Amino acid sequence: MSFSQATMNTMNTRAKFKSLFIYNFTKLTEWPESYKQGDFIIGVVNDVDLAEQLELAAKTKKINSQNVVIKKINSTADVSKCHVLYVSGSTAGEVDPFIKKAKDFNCLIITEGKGLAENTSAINFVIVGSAIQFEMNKSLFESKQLIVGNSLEKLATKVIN
Amino acid sequence: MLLLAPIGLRAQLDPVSLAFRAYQAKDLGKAKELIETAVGMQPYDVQARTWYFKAYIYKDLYKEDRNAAGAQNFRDVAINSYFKTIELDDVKEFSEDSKQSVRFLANTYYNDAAAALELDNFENADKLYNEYRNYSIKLNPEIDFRARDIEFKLYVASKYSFIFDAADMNSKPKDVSDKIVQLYKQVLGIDSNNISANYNLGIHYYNQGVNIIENIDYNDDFEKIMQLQIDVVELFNSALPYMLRAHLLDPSRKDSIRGLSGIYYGLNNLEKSEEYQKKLEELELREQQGQ
Repeated sequence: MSFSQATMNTMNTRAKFKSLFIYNFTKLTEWPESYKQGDFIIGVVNDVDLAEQLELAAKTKKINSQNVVIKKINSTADVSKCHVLYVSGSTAGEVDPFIKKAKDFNCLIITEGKGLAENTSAINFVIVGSAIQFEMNKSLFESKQLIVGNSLEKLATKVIN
Repeated sequence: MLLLAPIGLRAQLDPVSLAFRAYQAKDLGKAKELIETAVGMQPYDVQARTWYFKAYIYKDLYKEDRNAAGAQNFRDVAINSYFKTIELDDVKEFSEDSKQSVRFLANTYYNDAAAALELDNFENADKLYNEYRNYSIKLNPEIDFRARDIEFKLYVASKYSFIFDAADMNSKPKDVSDKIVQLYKQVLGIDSNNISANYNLGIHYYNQGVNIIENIDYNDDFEKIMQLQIDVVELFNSALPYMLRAHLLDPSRKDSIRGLSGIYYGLNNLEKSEEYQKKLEELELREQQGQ
């Protein structure tokens, strides 16, 4: 009798959870009228795994009846009108140039860095007890004319008004 | 080799010798009938030679057709008759041969257990393995069976894992998963330093977490996703100590390092994940350089 060694399943677990969260953020957020037509664009800065995971979902899912388009962004020059802008980077210095470039768009800014929900992004991923959670800054939703439901607020670990 | 002496004049009256005569005439059915009469008669019932010959006849009946309906029973009778022979054999005339036969028959249980596992007949395999184990220990109470038990349990666990992995992602059988966990934990109960059990158990927990993640649908509501994430974190946390142990026991084993990197990544501990990823890359580089 000879036993076989178990095989490890491979998948980017973090990317899947983040993409699930992002899709759910979009379900609970309302964009201005002018953003309710055409493609629903999600810009992803410097996170190929997340972009690919989102692309996978975009093949079968729509957001608010709009087709979903994932745009991989590597430089500030690539930033254009979008509904969601996820910016990878742990400090304000890393993410600010991209966010500034998107200042004229009504886009939901999402980051993942300590304290970035304070002044930088409407939603900031944080790790709590090994799980991905999020903080939200309501004023940064409002400044982009995005209406956010109460249910999202209830799920956030921290809400900044 | 049958150790019975040639039949003398007493053959006319001696039921054991009569059974032997039938055996020589290749009439195993008659030999069986006669030897059963002998073991029920005094003084033959307490003679080692009677039981030895009974064991021999039943062993031949078993060997005649191992797949026949009564074959398992013939084997049981043979093996127990050999033990009775050893018990009664004060002058050690039949003991050594009987022990060899018990070993042979016990090994057939082991082989049958392996064959049953090939057919995924787990219950029967377990029963047969325990027969093998019990008879082997009865023959030699000093025998250390730990290595064999570990080998068997790891093999059974890997067979269950195969079923679990092959099952549809949406309907992984929980009872099979529980069996896998139970078997690896039993192995670790025997030897907590068993690398394969530590590694495989770590992977089993980890893969279950990954299965959950793969199954989460984008239409699932947020609360459900968050709860599932808690479940996944629990599974990854369960995997961690076993994978760490496997790595500690063999720091150069790449699979364990890769496993740790994956588990820490799943637990969102990127620093640790990268630390093990670096270790893996260094190890691979050293291998390439032939160090």
